[in-house]
Parts: sequence; C-alpha cells; structure tokens
Amino acid sequence: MEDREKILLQKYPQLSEAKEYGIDIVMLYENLQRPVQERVKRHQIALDTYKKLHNIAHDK
Amino acid sequence: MNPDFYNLLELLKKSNVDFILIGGFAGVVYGSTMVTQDIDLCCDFSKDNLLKLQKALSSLHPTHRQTPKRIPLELNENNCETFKNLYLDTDLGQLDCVSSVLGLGDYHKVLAQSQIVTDGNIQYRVLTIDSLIESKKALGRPRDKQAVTELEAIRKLKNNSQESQE
Repeated sequence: MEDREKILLQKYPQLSEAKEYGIDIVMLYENLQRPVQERVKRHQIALDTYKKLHNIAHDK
Repeated sequence: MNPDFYNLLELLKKSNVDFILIGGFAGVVYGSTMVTQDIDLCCDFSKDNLLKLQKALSSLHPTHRQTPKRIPLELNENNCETFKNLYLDTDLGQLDCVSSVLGLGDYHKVLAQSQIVTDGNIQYRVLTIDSLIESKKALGRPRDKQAVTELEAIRKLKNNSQESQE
C-alpha cells in the first residue's frame, strides 16, 4: 500500500470501504481539496483524453 | 462533437432554463473522480421552460439521440407537452433532460432536494449529495454502485471536516 494511502486511512478510517472497492482514495482526497471550478476543469481534461484514446483505438 | 460541459451549462443558465444537475456530473461537482460522458439534468418540463431550452440549444444542432435518423430537436408550442424526457446530442456533448428522477420524484420534489453551487462565473442547482446517493441507489447498475461507494466516502469526509470546524 502506498504511504499516502496509509496515512489517509489512518486519519480517515471511514475511507476503508472505498479503498476496498478499488477507489483511488488519494486521488479522491486531493480532488476534494480543489474548488468546484478546478474539479470541472480536470474532468474536462480527463474526458478529452478519454475521447482521444477512444478515437485512436477505433481508427486502428 | 467535442464535449464541453461547463460551456453547455453556462449556455443554459444564460438562457434562464430551469434545471437541476443530477447524475455523474453532479458527482464531479462534489469531487467524484469518475469520468462521465454526458450531462444529466432534471428539468421543469413546462412549455415555457422547454421553449427556453429549445432557444438555448438552437445553435448547438441538437438532435434526438435515440432516433435512428437523429431527428433535430424542434420543440414548439404545440408539441412541448408530449415530452417527458429528452435524450439529446449537441455540439457541446450529450445532454439528457428528465422530468423526474427515480427514487426522488418529479422536478419540484427534486428542486426541494437541490442546492446552489458556484462553478467559476456561473451558479447552478445541483442535487444534494444525500439525494444524489439515493438516486444512484435507485438505479442499481454496477456503475452506480461504484458511484455510491465513492459519494458515500465523499460525504463521510465532508461530515468529518464539518465536525472538525465545530
């Protein structure tokens, strides 16, 4: 287990269920420190990347 | 089509369309790390509001996504009342507008379970995190179960943070 993950679980044991499910709790925690505008912006970047990869995969 | 959800929501807000953000993008607003490919809104399906929606989307070449021939969206005074849901493709992304939310109720019930969030220069209504979780549980698909788990973690962290401030 990554160190940051361990530290987060020690501080917030309520995240253990999410961790067990496979959710990246470090990424989740970091995202919660950002304002809404930044979350939306980052989502747009992730969506654009997904679309590019999807198009590349379908072009092959 | 290049999805751009911020600009899509901004366009609807500027046109005074009454809506509440639900679904995956509501989760994004709360901090979810799951990527969603569409915007889900619960809208007031009154004639006035649907005509505002039509006007707002008119420059985005909206089409009914689930029709084989991708029929253009053409809401007017005569046909507005025939629609309960709209599943659309637009130049700014997929937009699903529903008149009610499973597990929660119609637009007015959903409105009572919403709150205003500020996203940059715009403010819009989003389902509260509690109601968002309820709506995802009502859907019950595997993807929704993952979303529920993540949203519950977000809620726990949020409650923890609020308790620390008291």
